[in-house]
Amino acid sequence: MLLDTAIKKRLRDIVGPEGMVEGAAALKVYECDGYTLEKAKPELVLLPGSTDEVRRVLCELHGAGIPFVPRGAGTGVSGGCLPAGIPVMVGSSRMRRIRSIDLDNARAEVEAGVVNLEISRAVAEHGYYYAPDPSSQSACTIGGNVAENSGGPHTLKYGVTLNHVLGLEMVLPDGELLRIENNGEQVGYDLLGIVTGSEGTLGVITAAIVKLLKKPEAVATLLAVFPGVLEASRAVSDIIAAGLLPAAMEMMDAMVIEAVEAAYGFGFPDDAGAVLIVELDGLEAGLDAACVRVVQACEGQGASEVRRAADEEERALLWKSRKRAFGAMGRLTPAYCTQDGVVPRSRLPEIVEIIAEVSQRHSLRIATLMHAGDGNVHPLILYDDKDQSQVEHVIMAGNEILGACLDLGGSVSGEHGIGVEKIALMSQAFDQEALQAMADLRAVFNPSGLCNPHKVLPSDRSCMEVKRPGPRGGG
Amino acid sequence: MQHRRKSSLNMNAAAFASLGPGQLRPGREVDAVDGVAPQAVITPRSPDHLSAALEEARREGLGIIPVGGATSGLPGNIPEAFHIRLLMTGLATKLERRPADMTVSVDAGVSLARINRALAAAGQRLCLDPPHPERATAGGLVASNACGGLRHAYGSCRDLVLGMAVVDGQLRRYQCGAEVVKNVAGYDLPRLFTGSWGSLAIITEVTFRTHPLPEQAATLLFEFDDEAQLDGARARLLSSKLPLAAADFSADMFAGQQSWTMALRVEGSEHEVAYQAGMAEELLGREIGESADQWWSPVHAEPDAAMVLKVSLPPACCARFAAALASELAMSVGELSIGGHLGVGLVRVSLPAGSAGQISPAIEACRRCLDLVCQDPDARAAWADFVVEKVPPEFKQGRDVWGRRPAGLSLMQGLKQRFDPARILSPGRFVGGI
Ligand SMILES: Cc1cc2nc3c(=O)[nH]c(=O)nc-3n(C[C@H](O)[C@H](O)[C@H](O)COP(=O)(O)OP(=O)(O)OC[C@H]3O[C@@H](n4cnc5c(N)ncnc54)[C@H](O)[C@@H]3O)c2cc1C
Ligand SMILES: Cc1cc2nc3c(=O)[nH]c(=O)nc-3n(C[C@H](O)[C@H](O)[C@H](O)COP(=O)(O)OP(=O)(O)OC[C@H]3O[C@@H](n4cnc5c(N)ncnc54)[C@H](O)[C@@H]3O)c2cc1C
Repeated sequence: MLLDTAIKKRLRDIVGPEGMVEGAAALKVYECDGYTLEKAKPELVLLPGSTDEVRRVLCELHGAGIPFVPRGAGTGVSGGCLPAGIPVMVGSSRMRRIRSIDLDNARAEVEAGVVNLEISRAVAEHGYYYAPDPSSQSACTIGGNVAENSGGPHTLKYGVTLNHVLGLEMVLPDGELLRIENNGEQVGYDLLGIVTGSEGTLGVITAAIVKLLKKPEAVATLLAVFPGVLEASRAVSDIIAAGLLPAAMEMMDAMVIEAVEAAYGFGFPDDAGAVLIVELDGLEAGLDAACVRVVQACEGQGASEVRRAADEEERALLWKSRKRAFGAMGRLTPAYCTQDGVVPRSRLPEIVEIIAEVSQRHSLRIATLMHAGDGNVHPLILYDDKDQSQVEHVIMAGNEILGACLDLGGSVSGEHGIGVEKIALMSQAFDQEALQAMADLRAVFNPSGLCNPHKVLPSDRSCMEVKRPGPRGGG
Repeated sequence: MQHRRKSSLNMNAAAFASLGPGQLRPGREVDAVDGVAPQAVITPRSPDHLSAALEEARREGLGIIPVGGATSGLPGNIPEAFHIRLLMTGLATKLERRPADMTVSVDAGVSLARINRALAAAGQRLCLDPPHPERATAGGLVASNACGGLRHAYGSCRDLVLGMAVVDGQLRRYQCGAEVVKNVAGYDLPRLFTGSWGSLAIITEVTFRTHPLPEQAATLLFEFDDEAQLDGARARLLSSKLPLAAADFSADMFAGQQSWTMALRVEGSEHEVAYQAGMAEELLGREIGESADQWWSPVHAEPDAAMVLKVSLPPACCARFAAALASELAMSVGELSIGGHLGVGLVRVSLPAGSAGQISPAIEACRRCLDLVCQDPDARAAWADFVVEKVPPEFKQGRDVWGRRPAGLSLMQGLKQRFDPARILSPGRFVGGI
């Protein structure tokens, strides 16, 4: 499809010259998100500066029958904003205002392009923060977080984006403005809940009202070193069985540790088979006792060392090592592919064994990162992107691992979404009737199908086949 | 919306032949909803029975209202059609707890108390504490997005439901969501059905996330002289580092006098509970604590209240709203109960049995007071509104009990059209006549 000059002019009149990106060179950044193996340039990227501009842009596109895709920071890892077969991209990067902060009611209204971490920064001096903390939080936008229902290490105790959004302002695909705001007590169907996690297929989010939490009185961050991933995942089960609900329980295996150590030099022991980061928060009063129980659980599963971050600096470095682990992986491999499966917590040891078996069978190195407390595993399959036969094994290995997650009673995505990457797995995860019901839901919001087509549901498979390995980054 | 409907149901129809004894009986006065008695009460014992009943309803254009423990009083607009009262308590076999995964899956008819007894044996709980746990069912809780004071820390059903099995109005049977705590595969259908008040699908099974049972818990009660004191206490408390499990208040009025009480629930180890009690007293002054645990047992759950309103508003407006309402009604109403969840901004207002004459003035006053405290530029809460949860049917004529037209009503109507095109599920009862 080629956009004619008349429509381009009308769109330019709406967003102004600074809101329009054209030309191959400038469009290069928009050709993919963190899912880099499929690329396509849009013809035009529009960066509206206000909700009203978004509304007028969508009215125009709707009138002309032109498909479009919303985009935040492009850190998504399932190809959610891949513009394949979609001429226009609507980005949120010029909508970055924090509109209001209401500490008395513990909420803030922010535009869609506001970066996750900026919210916490804006309220930090008052002792508040925004809880969902994807590892990409210094880059990803709140619009993208809502669209993906993103999680992060602290979802274990605090929940995902869904649990922290009290309102949304969005423009529906036909250009109608919708503002949903409440205190979690919506009258009528939970439109807020439906839009959250809908991967940019139900309209363009222009602002969100988010909950602010008070920082806990005390935090303790423990690092436990294990001989292997199996022992560490058993320790996770034991911590849960002990009736503890840590704020976060994150695991890295030896390969990830090696990369991270080389990059950030935290001082992980070189012989560590796996490390578990356990963060406890809450009252000063109960914290030491809880730490003792975590230490016991870890030692019970053979941890060779459990140490507590001595101060805020050490704690920050530990989290940096964890959150930037993906960035460090480049040291080990020319390319890698991140998977995002979930298993019931008690089945972590099983999926760990399956991953090892898959790795061996396909002769591929697989590093593993986990939001272990949630049963959310991110196997990173390392490969050489120039070796086509290896590429095929990467795809098979990824699908086998996700298939195993389903067999164990889990899910094919814990936080990265379906996008284009996992469309083919949807029919494995849900029966036909559920998929039809999902299509019905989408059709109510997006009857024309113009908003982010060819994503999420397998009915759109005609355009997209999962034939390439997945993304870098994520988790 | 008008649909062609048959006026009566043929209880001998082949579809009902599979129902065993005790599963089908004629409807009676006591089965009525808003004064409309159904023709039959059906208690399915399996999803197959359920599908058969729905199939018949669709063929004949019948109206069905699903019912769990009926503890909600079945709020809604006067039904457009009501032929079958579908009693979901017959589906109550499955209760599968997985303590190591911190999840539990149950049939829709299993009661909250039963779930929590089973979980307690494994040191866990489902963090929901609405009134009448012995009767409230998993399906009813979810369909009404119920909660109690624990919502302060754990959210409502919406935040705790992971997955479910349903039969929707198109008679499609499916599982949606997942049985794991984290899942973003596809559209979030469980969120659509949670809080859908029986108007889109019949819920047959639910999976919830569970939480560890605290070693100890305590209720701390505080009394205040007026709304300003209570609100000041709220502000201090909620901006403190006290991790409360619940923060409720009551501002009941009796014989022109309004009393202001706050109830906090703190949980943790013995040491933590004592520590929190100390923190709370430091912030709020001396605790009065007598028979404190009694406090939570249904303050606003008198089953024979003449009227119950559920008001949503910003937390910082709760106390002022309660004071304004009491002062408007002090002359006309002898007794008024007001209270709710302070941290969330959810307040219930109720009139005792026998005060039907005061219902209309109370509803009018509630609207005025809400506008007064929430519409000022500071509060910026144009969304604040209330649902008329319970009133005699004559007060429902010509009124939408769900309040003002919500944003996105046309989308909601679209969803109804897709998921229940024949309008067999609670037709006309939900917002905007959905
Ligand atoms: C290093 C790294 C670490 C990560 N860690 C985590 C993690 O811990 N947890 C986690 O959940 N995810 C993680 N992710 C994934 C990703 O960061 C999240 O999905 C994030 O929410 C995407 O935000 P974004 O602004 O980059 O959105 P994009 O990538 O730009 O878009 C993502 C999707 O949202 C849609 N979208 C974006 N903005 C809007 C809008 N305004 N309105 C409507 N739809 C919109 C797009 O169409 C697309 O479908 C990680 C990614 C990387 C690269
Ligand atoms: C006086 C009073 C005070 C209350 N206070 C509170 C409170 O503080 N907080 C709160 O959240 N709730 C409150 N409630 C509401 C009540 O606690 C919940 O709505 C209740 O838990 C629902 O459970 P149930 O099984 O009794 O459902 P029911 O009352 O039987 O049904 C509730 C709704 O769900 C539908 N439904 C029932 N089962 C199914 C199913 N399987 N599939 C689909 N739809 C179904 C019904 O049609 C109905 O619309 C109060 C109720 C009363 C009477």
